[in-house]
Amino acid sequence: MPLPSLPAPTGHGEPDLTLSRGPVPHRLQAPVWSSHFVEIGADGAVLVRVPDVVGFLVRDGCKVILDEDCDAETSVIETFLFSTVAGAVLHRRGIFPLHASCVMVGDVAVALAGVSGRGKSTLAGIMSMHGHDVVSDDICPVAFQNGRAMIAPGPCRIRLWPDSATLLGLSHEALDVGRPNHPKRVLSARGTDGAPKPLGAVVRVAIDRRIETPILHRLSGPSAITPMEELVYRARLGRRLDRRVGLFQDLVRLAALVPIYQLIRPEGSFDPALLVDLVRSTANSAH
Amino acid sequence: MRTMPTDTLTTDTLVSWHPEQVTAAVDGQVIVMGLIQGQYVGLDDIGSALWTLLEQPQTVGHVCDQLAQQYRGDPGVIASDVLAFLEELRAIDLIQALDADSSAS
Repeated sequence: MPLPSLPAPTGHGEPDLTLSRGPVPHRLQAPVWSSHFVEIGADGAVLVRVPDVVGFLVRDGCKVILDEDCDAETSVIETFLFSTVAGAVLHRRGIFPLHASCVMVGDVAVALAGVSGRGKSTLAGIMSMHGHDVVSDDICPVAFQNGRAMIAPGPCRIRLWPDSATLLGLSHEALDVGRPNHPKRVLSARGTDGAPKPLGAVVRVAIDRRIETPILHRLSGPSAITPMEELVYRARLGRRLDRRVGLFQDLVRLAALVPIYQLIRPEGSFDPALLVDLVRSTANSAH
Repeated sequence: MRTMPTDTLTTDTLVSWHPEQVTAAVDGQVIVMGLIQGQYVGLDDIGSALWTLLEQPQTVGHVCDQLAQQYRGDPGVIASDVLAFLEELRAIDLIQALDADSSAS
């Protein structure tokens, strides 16, 4: 199955996750938890089912089965595979999924974090258009290795709301469709190779209509990592997959290793170059 | 030791960390997550000092005395603030009140 958005792998080991087509149930029998599109089985299997679009079954965090009857386009399959399905895989494997889009600034990755609608993808798009390679959009898998937080690069496709595309000066119609009947469009940005990137800073993105100029400040203490739900991709799903304590401990560890900032931007029009400078400054101070 | 979940806290009540919580620190300030209700609380410097005192069972009065020594303030105000704060922590199962008699035996 082609996945053209993924960076080429750099390692030579055995794959640790397989994706194949096969039978995927419409519903799980006696799920222990279910939400609109997701069910968790008693055995820990996770079903992601969008009726008439796609269905995935995640088993043991290392096996993803795509419904053999799914005839969706590759870009649609990728949209779900790299969002909810990836979240389920990461939570199942105990890998911390930072809810952030991520770009390279110099030789470190800077994660632009925040819940949906705060403009992290928009900011990643702005950074991309100012020459910064995109490491991932929406989910940053964080591995803690040798006292560093490392980000595994993901697809370099940025999903944008129509107003974000306009803000970036892009024609909404000219962008790819990521998901049928959904207004978000996909910007194919320049990505990185597949090698893990050291995380240099986390920037929590917020919007405030009362200000006219972007503000950046460093967060310290517990406020740097709270509310935790804003920093964890699909936090509710993670908690249901027995990651409540693990997510808490991983966030504390992240705060110990990486400076965490808040970047507040005005709601209306503003000079994107100002934001770019502020994001760049977080990576510089990290050295 | 038996827990006494329903009584109102007084300065004589013995209190300690709830066993079903996880404590960590960010920049020297404590953050605690309860495993029963899943809630977490970030504490400032004074809250962190208070929390550290509660690792071993203490009477509320002893906690107030310790804080009054560390931070200048009216003892009556400190006691009132500490009691209110501990009630909040107990309501979300981050601390527990213990039976003083059984702990002494």
